[in-house]
Amino acid sequence: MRLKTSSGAALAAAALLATAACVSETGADTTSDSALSGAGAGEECTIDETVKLGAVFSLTEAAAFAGEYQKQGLELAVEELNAAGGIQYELILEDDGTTLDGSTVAFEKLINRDEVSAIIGPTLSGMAFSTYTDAQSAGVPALGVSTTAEGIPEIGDYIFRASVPEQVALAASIPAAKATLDMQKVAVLHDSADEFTASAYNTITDELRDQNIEIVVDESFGTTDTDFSAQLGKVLEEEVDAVILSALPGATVPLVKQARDLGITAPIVGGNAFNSPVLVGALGDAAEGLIVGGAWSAASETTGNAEFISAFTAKYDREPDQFAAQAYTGAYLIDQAIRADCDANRESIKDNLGQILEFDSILGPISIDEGGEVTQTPVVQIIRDGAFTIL
Amino acid sequence: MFAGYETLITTIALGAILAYSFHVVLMAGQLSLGQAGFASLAAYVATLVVPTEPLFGSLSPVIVGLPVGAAVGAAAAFLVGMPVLRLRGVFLAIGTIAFGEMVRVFMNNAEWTNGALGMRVEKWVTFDFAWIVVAVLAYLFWRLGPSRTGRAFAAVREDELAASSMGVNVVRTRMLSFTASGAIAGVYGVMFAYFYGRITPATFDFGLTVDGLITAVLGGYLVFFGPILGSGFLTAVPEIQDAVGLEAGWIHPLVTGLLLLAVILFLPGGLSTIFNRLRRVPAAPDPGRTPPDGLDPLPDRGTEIARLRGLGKAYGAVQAVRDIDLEIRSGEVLGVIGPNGAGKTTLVNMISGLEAPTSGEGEVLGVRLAATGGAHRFAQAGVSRTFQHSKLFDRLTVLDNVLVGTHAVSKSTYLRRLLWLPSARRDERRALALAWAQLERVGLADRANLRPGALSYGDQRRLEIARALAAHPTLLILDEPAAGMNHVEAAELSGLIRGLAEDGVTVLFIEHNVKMVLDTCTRLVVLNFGEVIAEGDPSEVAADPAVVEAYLGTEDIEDGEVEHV
Repeated sequence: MRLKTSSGAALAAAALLATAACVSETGADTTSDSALSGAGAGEECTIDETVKLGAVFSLTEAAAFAGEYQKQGLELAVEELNAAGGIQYELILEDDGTTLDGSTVAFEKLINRDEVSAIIGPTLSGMAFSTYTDAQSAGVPALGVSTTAEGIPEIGDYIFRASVPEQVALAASIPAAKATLDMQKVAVLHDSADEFTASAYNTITDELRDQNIEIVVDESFGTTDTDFSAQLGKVLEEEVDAVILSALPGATVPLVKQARDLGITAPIVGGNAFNSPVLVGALGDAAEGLIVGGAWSAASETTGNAEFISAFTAKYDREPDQFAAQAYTGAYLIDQAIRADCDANRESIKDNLGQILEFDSILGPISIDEGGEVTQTPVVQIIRDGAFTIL
Repeated sequence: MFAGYETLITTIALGAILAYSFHVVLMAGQLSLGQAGFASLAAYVATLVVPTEPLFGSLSPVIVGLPVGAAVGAAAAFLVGMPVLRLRGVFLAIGTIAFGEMVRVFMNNAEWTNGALGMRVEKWVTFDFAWIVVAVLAYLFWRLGPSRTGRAFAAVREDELAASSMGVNVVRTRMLSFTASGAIAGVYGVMFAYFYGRITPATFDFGLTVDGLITAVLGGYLVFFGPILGSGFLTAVPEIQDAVGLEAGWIHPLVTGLLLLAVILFLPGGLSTIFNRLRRVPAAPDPGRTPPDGLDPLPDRGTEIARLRGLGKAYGAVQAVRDIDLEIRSGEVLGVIGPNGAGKTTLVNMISGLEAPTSGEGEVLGVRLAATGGAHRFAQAGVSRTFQHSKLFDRLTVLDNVLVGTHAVSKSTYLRRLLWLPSARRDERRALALAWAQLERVGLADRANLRPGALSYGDQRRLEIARALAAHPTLLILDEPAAGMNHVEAAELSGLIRGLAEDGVTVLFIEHNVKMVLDTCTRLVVLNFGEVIAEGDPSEVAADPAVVEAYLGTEDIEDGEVEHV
């Protein structure tokens, strides 16, 4: 008797196994809600229903240094947009704790439970590769504001970014540095254990080759290293015109300090990760002469930039950084896409985000093509007297 | 079913799978922290073999990846285990962490893994798929618990020395748990890759290991569903905090940390402690049952079962035992007495295989006394023993302690239990009957479901004897069984030992209670400074002037003052 019931159970389990192991093919949900489309167009557009915007940032753990700024920049923008009237936004902000599972779970919540119109974030490209495939298959437009790795917009037609890819920023900073410093021979130091910096390293070497600049020292280190004397010793042995660094803020601060302590006077050139007032504060005098390529500068005279900086500083009692500026811009880009057809449905936002042309933002004129990639002129800055100055 | 929560609930399943890979080593008392390395290896290898299209139209291709991942994880664990399993405790932990780091660095620098940039694959793992894997794992562990293998795991965890004396092959059991852990970690790696659709070497870092360990310990490794409880708890706590309106940020980890601390402090067996009272209490078998069959008959009375020639043991310059010539014949009760430090325990440790002699030779039940092979070989040949200081399995019930004793005389039941074969059930019943019979023999049947810690000292000694008897020994070695017993208990014990001898069990026992020794044994050996100074009929030996002088003192032994020297 027992054998009979258990074999029945086994049979049922096998049947379940067979069905559940199947791959489900659910298409994107393209139903639209008429209450989310309104009357008027552009500036005049009014939508009755509150538009839900989702955002996933790393507010705790490793990437919180960026996530906090992004949250504040985005909240400031949503506040301004709501004050402007016509469309009311409700911002639903999720923390992914700088973990992959946190990020995917947050995306699920925003997509399926909160049913947002669009999602901004996540903070890190590593998570975006996983979460954006979910957004794509659910048919929810997602806009990256700090995801600079290669291959992000290619995930699908619902995926966009307003963050200049690392290669573009570096491609701008290396020629600019070459022009200013007359670089012939450089040392390249990079963090080989982090995907962001490893990807940037590939860009750096390609760009240096294009510019006919010789790499005389090529050294790598790990994300959590704190002692760089071995790598910097090799730099000291050679006469280099500049040191090009691809590192996260955690390693950048001790590395630059140790380089200056060891007597390396050559200018240090870096990418997006350098672009933060916090970094300059932490480095103190050692920051002098750093060359940074990025998407935004406090010194840029772009439309609304001065107002943004003063509003941000007044609200949060600290200066904004690039992360804040890009998140702030992201909200305006989505607003722009909604106003284009005065429709906050996911499909409409997707169609119009890919049509944004030369939108006049605090980052300068910014465009997003149908493939989801951003076009924007990067800014190259040098730190002089403790402040970012455009090179 | 769980609309809008599928991803969240699937992450619980993934967390549980990772925790199971820790569960299986913790069950056997090993602290292995190499799981991230096994998972990483398996995930990367799986990307090479998993097809990019669904199988037969709609079957998830991960079905190919799971066995491959399990095999890669198990093979890696086996290879790593050979050198590192010699280590214990924190040293094993460090050795396995080193392996995990090696894998991470290797994957970071290999070409085919695309280095730190990682790989992207299709998200083939669905909600149902993940939970079926968890269900299969839970089933495997559910069936493992009350099987011979499961008891061996528990015995090794509680006390390796006692486990090996009960016939458990400790090295093999540790390796089995370690390899199983590698296999489950491998499955986790594959599931992870095809659930998140992306792997980088940094994904499988030390943090992942810590997460798995916390989940396993939090859930509790003494019951089969502990990992699911642990994973569910850790996933639910932040969600509940969200639901009650606690703001994210530093408060979440703080509250989670405090809850973790509370569980560890107040529920030492993890969350599963809460379910402990639901445990089924096994009932005593019918009194009218027939005695367990299939036990080998004991050798005929008078057969030689052990022979030692010139046996000696030196610890460096200290000669604990020297030049011992001794024969043990079936059916006798051989008492060994001698002052403290005379070498009595060293002698029985050699006879039971726990220590190898440094000189001379010997054979016990056909097993040569030698440095290699492990004590379990002696137990399987029919030597069973108790220890001077009780070595009971503290977290097992009295009955389960005795059940471990049946290890040497029962067959492995785990694989047959998985298939619900009636023969496994018969074998388990037989082991249970054997264990109950021993509990009744020593008078502990009414305390079968207590833990050893709840027993009086005398009862603990009797429990140890019951456990040793459950192995159906040819030679039973008792190391000071009456220590801590009062006169009445010692007299009862003496009666029990004589009864065993009548049943044909050969007993070798060390005892300081001279009156009991003289009442019980048929032959007496006296050791002093590692040498035999007298041997023979108990009353004659006791009267030997050399013994009286060396050990008993010069007073008349009829005086009665020497009962407790």
